[in-house]
Formats: sequence, structure tokens, C-alpha cells
Amino acid sequence: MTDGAAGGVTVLAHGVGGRGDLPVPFSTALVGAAVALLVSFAILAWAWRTPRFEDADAGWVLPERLTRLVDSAAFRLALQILGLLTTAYVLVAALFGPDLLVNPTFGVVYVLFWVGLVPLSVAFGPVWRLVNPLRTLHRLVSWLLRTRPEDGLLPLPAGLGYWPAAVGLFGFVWLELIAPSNTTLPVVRMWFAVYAVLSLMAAVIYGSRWFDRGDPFEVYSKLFGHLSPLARRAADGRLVLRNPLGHLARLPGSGAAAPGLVAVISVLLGSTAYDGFSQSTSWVRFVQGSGVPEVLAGTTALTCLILLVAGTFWTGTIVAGGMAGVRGGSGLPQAFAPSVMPIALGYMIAHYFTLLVLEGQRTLIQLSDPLSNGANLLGLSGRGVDSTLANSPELVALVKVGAVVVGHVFGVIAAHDRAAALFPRRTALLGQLPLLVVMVGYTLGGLTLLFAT
Amino acid sequence: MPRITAARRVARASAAALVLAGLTGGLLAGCASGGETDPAASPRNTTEQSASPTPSGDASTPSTPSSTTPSSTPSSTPTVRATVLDITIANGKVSPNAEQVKVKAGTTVRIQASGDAADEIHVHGYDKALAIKPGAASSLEFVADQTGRFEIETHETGALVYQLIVTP
Repeated sequence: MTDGAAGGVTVLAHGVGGRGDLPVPFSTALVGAAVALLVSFAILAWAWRTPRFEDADAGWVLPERLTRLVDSAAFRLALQILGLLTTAYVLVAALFGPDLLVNPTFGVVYVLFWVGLVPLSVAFGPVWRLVNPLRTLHRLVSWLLRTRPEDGLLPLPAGLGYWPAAVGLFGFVWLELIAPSNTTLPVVRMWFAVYAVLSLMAAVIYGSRWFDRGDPFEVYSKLFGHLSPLARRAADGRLVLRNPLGHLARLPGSGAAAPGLVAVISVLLGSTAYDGFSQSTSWVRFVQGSGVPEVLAGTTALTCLILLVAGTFWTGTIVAGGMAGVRGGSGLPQAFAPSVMPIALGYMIAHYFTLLVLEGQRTLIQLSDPLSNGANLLGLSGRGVDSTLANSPELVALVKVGAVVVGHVFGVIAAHDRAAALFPRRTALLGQLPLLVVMVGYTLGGLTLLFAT
Repeated sequence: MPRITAARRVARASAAALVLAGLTGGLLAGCASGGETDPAASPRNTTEQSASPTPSGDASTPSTPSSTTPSSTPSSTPTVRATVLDITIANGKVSPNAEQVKVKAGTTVRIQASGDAADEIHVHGYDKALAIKPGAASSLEFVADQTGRFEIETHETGALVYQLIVTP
């Protein structure tokens, strides 16, 4: 990154940011793996037999006023306008700013939005649906046409579920990780233009309900939002504070079918794994030496990793059902899919938290001068990035390994509770073993990526 | 009320012992080897030699690369120990191919590049650029004072040449 140096345009191979994290020391990763394995077996040994997280109404109820405020039309409208204005501000930079890396568009898209939405959702719940500018635009269009936003021309097809979101998320991670020239404005503009047009068309056809399960970023925010302690009571919709694992158990929601949920989670986990994997010198050496086009090799590897996650998870849950003696096991992958979310969160933190802290700062500074013409609209122009984090590789390594291990532990707990709910008491422990093996596999894979790439 | 059978009690006790032993062992192992960086990838392409082309160069013996002994010469200007990274471009192929190099922070890194086609070497993170002119060799020197992972790549061909890992 140029830090304001005159004329210095650098085209980066892997998106924004020039200074990468050091590989995690092998000993740290080894300790992490040992802890993850041992705690997993300890959980099994001291397992509780009756599910603890299945109560839809549990939680410490928050004041009625808070629920009324959050649900009020004024608050919702204010958030929607905020979302629209922020998008417009970034659009100015994207449409009229120079096509250089000092343009904040890239940092906004790849860091503040894609990575930043995760901690925001884990803290406050599914926030993107409150600020999604496409939802606001659709609402505006419906208002002009004197129709209700929820009404479309057709009802949503039953089997659609989360599949459109899975496809959309794959499209975005492909843009983020593989698309050539993805840090140039034309490519980013094109992606979002196509995405916006398709989304609005779908919303017009199916109504605003399309966004609930079809919009990739709303689903992304919703899935991480289910790890938030801020939840709603099923009985009356009041806001409560509850154990995040209990909130997680509400996915996919009271036994309702959720086609495509496993696909979405596989895309999340697989793409984060690919991000780490594709930065290893052995992979780059292989691709550069083989003469295979980089885009083809990358897309193949990304797809394979996603399919690997999906395949291992699906197999693990089906075998688990078989060992537990449960009939009709085809619904098991969906039922257990939420328990992978803590692992996905651990992966995201491990791979992206330094990016968010460092490049996020840089992007905010750049946003102060959206057209790169010397303006200082947010009062941040000219400031330097505080790189204390980057200068503490030991702390960074600890956070990364810690995130993956803690994510694993919570995933195992969530899977155990779900198994206690679904499997007969006698075989619940036995039935969990295949799933435990799969989760240990994801964690060991994640730790390997941290030290070997 | 679930009956806790004797067998389950034994299983729990042994699991507890196993967990405790394992955690203790794991933590001890981690602390004992703490601070070690991964020794697996030895820097293959680093040579340490005295800075012969620079004005402060002296006539130290270049035949034994490990013997950078500034103390052996009476010259007052200390020779600069630099990690040299060579880059060559020939017939559209860039060499080396994604080589990983590890150096300690504070090391001087010199990139020596030559090629038969015009190109530019970019060192990310440090934001250095080195132009390659066909036929002539060029070099760039900088001190690796920031820790982290930095990509060194060619601009035109878009190939990763070196991954520079600067350890504390």
C-alpha cells in the first residue's frame, strides 16, 4: 500500500494489505490441537444426557422499552436510511474515485463489510437485514408502486431455502479470492451491479421474503447473528440475553426444513480454508510452475475444499445417525449444521482479525478522502495506521490458535446438545463419535493451515 | 435420576486423569519450546557475503561465504552482511518460483535482478520497486525492520518470486 507516496500504484496478488501475518509457530499449533482433542473427549466423558439448549423461550428478558424501540418503525427507517447513505458515500468513491489502491472501495468491500459484518453480527444479531440498502430500495419501489414489500408476484418455491444464498456467497468469495484484477474498480463495480440487479429482480418477483434466505449477505449476517447473546424469545418476540449456544440452537428454527444450509456453511468454512491454503508458497509454486491458468487452478481448489467440507459433514452426520439407530437420517445434516458455526467463526477470526484491525484502520482513513483529492471529510486523512498488533506476532499467533480451538470446543458442545435432543439416550454418545471425528478434522486442518502456510 | 454405574465412574476417572495429564504435558511442551520459530524451512537461497559492489567493499575472501569477518580487515568501514535474493527473467519465465526466505528482523536484504525483458519487481509491505532493464543488472537494498510476511513479485508477469518472512 502506498501510504500517500506519489504515483505508487501497486497491484497486489491477494487483495488488500501488503504485510501478512507470520506463520503460527508449530509448537503453539500443537498445543492447540492437544487442547482441542482433550477437551472434546472430556466433554463426551462428562456429557449431559438431556438437551440444555432447546428451550425457545430461555434467556434473561430485557426491558420492554428496548424491544419496542428496536421494533419501532422510526428506528427501522433510521437504520435503513443510514445504510442507504453509507452505501451512497462509498458509491461516490467507487464511481468517481481513481482506480488506485488508495480508493477506499476495496477496503470497504473486502474488509469493513465482509469481515466487519462478522463481529457486528456476533455482537448484535442479524444486523444486515436492518441496513441492507437493497431491501430499502425494494421497499422504496414497493411504496412507489403502492404494493406491500412482502408481496411479490409469486410465492417462494419450497425447495429453494438457502441455496440462492449459497450460490451468492460462492460468487462473492470467488470475487474476493480468485477473480483477476479484483482490486480494480471495474471488476468490483460489475460484481455489485449484477448482484444488485439480480437481487432486486428476485425481490420484485418473490417479495421481500426473498432477502430472508436468498440474499447472501443477509444469510451471512443471520448465521453469525445466531451466535449472539442477544436473541428473541419465541413466545412473544421480546429481546433477551441468552447463552449463545442456546441462540444457535434456534437455527434453522423449530424443526423447519432448511435446504441449502449445509451448502452455505460449507462455502463459509471452505472459502476461509482456501484463503489460507492459497497463500502457501507450495501451492503458488505448483500453480506457477504447472502453467495452468491461475483462475482455473484457484476455482478448482476452492470448489474442492467446499465440497470436501460438505461431503465430510454430510457423511459424518449420516453415519452418526446410523450409529445412533435413528431412522430417516436425511434431515440430520441440516439439524447438525448450526453446530459448525462456532468453528466457522473461529476460522474467520484466525484468518481475518489482523486484516480487520490493520486494513480496517487504513480503510477508515481512506474513507476520509473518498475521491483521493486531498479532502478530509471524516477528519482522519493523513493519519497513520497503528500497527502495534502487527508487531506482536506472539499475541497474534495465540489469538489465532485460541480462536480455532475455542470455536472447536463450542462446536462440539453444540453438536453434543443437538445429539442429546435427536438421538435416543442409550446411543447418543456413540452416535456423536463420527461427528466429533469430522469436527476434529476441521480443527486440525485449520491449525495446519495456520502454521504451514 | 440416572444411575451412575461403577463402569461409568471408572471411565470418568480415567478420562479426567487423561485430560489432566495431556493438558499438563501439552502446556509443558509448549512452554519448553516457546519462542522457537519453525525450524523446518531453512533459508535455502540466502547467501551472506560482504557488500563487494558498494564503495565500502573490501577484499575479504569471497570463497567461504560463512566467513564474513569484518574484524579481519583493518578497514574502519564495516562490511554489510546482506541476504541476497537473485531474480532472473528469461524467455518469459521468472526464476525462482515462489521461494520462501526467512530472515531475522534487522537484516539487510538485497535484491539483485536481471532479465531479458523489461519488468518491475515489487516488494509488498515495504513498498519498494525495482525496475529491470533488459541486459543490465539492477539491485535494491533495504533493511527488513518490520516483521511479517511480504510478497516479492514481478509486476508484468504477475508471478510471486519470493515470500519474505521476517521473524522477530
